[in-house]
Amino acid sequence: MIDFNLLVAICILYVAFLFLVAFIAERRANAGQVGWLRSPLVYTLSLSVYCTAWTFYGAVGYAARSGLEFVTIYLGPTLVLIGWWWALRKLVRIGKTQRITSIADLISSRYGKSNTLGVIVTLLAVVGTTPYIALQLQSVTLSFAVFARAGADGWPMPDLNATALWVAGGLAVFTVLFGTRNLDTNEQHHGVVTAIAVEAVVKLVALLGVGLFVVWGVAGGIDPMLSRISDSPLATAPFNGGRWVGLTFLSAAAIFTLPRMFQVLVVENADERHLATASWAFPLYLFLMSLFVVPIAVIGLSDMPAGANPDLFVLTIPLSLGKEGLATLAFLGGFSSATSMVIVASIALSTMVSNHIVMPLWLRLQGQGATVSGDVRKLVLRARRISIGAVLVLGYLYYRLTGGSAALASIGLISFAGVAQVLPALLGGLFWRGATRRGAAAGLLVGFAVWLYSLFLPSFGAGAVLSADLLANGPAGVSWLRPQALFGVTGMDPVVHAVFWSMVLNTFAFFAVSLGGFPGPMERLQGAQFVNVFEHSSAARGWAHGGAEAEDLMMMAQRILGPDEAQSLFLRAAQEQGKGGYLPETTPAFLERLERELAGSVGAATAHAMVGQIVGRSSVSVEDLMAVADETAQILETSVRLEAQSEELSRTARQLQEANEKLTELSVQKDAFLSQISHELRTPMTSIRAFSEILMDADALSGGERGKYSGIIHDEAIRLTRLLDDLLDLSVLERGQVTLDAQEGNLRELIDRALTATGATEGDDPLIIRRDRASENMQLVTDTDRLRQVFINLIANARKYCDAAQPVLRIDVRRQGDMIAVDFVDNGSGIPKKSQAIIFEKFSRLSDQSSAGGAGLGLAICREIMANLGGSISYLPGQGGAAFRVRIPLVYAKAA
Amino acid sequence: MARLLPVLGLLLFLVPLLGGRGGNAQISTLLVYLFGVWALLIVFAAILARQLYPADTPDQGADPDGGGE
Repeated sequence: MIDFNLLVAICILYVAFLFLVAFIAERRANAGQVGWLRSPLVYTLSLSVYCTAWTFYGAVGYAARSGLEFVTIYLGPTLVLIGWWWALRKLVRIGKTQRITSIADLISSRYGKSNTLGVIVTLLAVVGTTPYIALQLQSVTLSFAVFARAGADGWPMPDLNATALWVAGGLAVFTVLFGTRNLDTNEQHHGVVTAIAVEAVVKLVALLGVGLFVVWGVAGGIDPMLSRISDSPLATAPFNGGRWVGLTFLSAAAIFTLPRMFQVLVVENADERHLATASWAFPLYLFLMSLFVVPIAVIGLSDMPAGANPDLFVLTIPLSLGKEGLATLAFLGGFSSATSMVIVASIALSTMVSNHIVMPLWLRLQGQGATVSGDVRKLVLRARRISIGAVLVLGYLYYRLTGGSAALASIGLISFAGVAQVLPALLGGLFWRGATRRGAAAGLLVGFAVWLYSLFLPSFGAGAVLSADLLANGPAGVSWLRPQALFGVTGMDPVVHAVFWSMVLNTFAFFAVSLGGFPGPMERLQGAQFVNVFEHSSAARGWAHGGAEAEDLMMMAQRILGPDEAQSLFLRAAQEQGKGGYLPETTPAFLERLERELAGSVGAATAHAMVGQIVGRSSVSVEDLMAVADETAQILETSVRLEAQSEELSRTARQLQEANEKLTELSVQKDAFLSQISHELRTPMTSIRAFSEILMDADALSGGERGKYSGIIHDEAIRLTRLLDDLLDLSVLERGQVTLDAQEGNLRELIDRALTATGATEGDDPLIIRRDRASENMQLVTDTDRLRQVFINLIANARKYCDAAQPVLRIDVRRQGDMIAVDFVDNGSGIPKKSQAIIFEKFSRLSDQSSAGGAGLGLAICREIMANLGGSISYLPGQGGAAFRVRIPLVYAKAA
Repeated sequence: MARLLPVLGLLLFLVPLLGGRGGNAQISTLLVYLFGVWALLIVFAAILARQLYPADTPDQGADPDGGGE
């Protein structure tokens, strides 16, 4: 007999294996080797989160109770998938172009980025999914109990509630580890998806294994099996046409609206073509999963003792026939089904909760929050982790409340019916431009209310929430309001009844309110983009040309996307506009693009609000509305061409203007330098002349005086030489005649030596250095002396110019491909935007204080050195102080 | 054709409704019928998917940047 401890050990080993799979997949994805991680096969297998423990155990129980009806749960998804060309393709395309993160995000984004709708859908999803999570916990605990009961040698019955708690806790840990590891801009989780795909294989193999065993091992082949089916009680099971149609519809709706299905189908989709494969492969998976359900149910009913729970036949049949290996496999299959569902569902729900409830609340509490301090990414991740925990706690509580007694299938159907309320707003939003925010909200609320009243609350049993009297006679005796016989329609199956009325009233409210109102400008824009996603994938603009400061936007973007991602986005945008540096013009196009990137992390509504806080009001211009409303392609095309031309022109103009500004600035600089350099040369010369005259004329000088005067002459001569050296150095570097001496060195030692050279390591130094020595440990091949010269220059600059009361210099090192980026960031007031363009020019000195000493050649020399070393040095705006980024290739390659 | 397939599937899946009440339809026959239709639909869907996106077409998916230009 299988020992309880052995079973637990198998479970733990299996989970550890899943951890390993997820971990490896994540590692590969991070290293950029996506490859098979994103194949159509993995995509199809990941869709199998549809098949939960309800499918694995419940389908057999369902078949044992009501015959063939169980297949409707799989026929609906089959029809939707093979009809992918109708709706799924559009959904996936929209999900990709609009960076949709969840179903709540889709609805909110479609109806003018309204967060109210996001909140409604989120709440609906949480209420609808909780019972389902409870169901998974229940199935795992029940399957444990089966093994316990079978153990005749009597290992004690495990405490079911404790088992459920352990399972919930373990799942929370797994989900937090792999579901919220990073705030990905695409909200994709390679590790989780791969683990889910593995679990999909396990459950399929397990169910097929049990099925094959039952048909050939117990019944003795296909023909005997078929005749046993005909003789079984299933043959006389009543056939309910209403339920047949209603459940097919419900399961088809579930594919669109279940949060976990949306997550794997749309959010985790890597390539639209994978959908084409899934369109037949996923129905095939469902086909195989349900192929042996009836045989197992029939054999279970005839061979198992009366009163055995049909929901557990998959386990009990092999156990009772002594096939412990098979039973363990089946147990793992059920375990896989339950865990994969819970993991994906809690990721999807936590994304919704954090994007639509936590973030908006946080933004409101912060007031002008988007620009002030605080790491938003940490906040979002923390919110997600907490919501994952909360979702699982809710599921556990529901499990405790309902006592884990109801048959598996009925809880599943209640869940399906709840989330299906999103369907009218979803499909309406995809195909009908006239759908409005108010309509969607009305439909959702009405449907939700009817579902609660007629299905969810009565499901707790008479007297639990709704009194028995209310159930039998309606509220206050109004009989046509009876929860399970609305409007006097009696005799319908309760589920079909609730689905029918909630969907009818929901759809009616959605259409009536939509037709009665008028969509707002933002809704029209979004509506057109959604409905006509295949015609124009390029976005219409929702932002007017505002006075937004690119630097503020950059600060915000860095907090959400992370510094690397944000900087490369801004850099790319600036390059496309033909500008140097990190700060692009805040054109509507750029704002739109930034918003969409942000939406990938925090959802459309929040991203819109955050950009809005910085840019000011969002406005939709007349041209935008015309572009949307305009049906004549001619005008659109001409205006697009004109726009492209004017864009081109303005880009050229901007480049010219920048060049011109730079030239003017340079000529002013040069003039200033000439007088500066004359002054710099003249001052030492004057004192040299004066003191040498004194030395020449006076014989009466004491030895001490003579020493002092010649010392002054010597110092001044050194100053002159240094100035001339710098000039020479620069001109050599500029002409590329310098010979570089490449050698291997360690970056950490280089920085150490640079700090020592500037005296920053001495105890009483006012400049505080912050560095992460671990990340600096990198070998590189370059001219170390030259590189150190650059570091020394930057550190010395920070010491000289940082005007904070307590100057702090932060040195950040990170690897970017085969380059190393070293950032020197101080906490002073930074460099004014006007001057950022010229600090690397020769002779530029921002302050006139002579205390600064040098002639303004330091940064110019640095730039030339870095160019010669194959790297670069640039000013990094938006870091809260002066910040310079030095980029060095890991291996110096001599320019050909 | 890709749009017609689900409609056809729906019609075929609804056939059991016709003979349902009488109860004289053998459950095993019904079982074989349903799974047969199902298998056929899968085969058709696979053929169609092949035709709509031949294996060597370039990625038709939208540019993730949404054409920010």
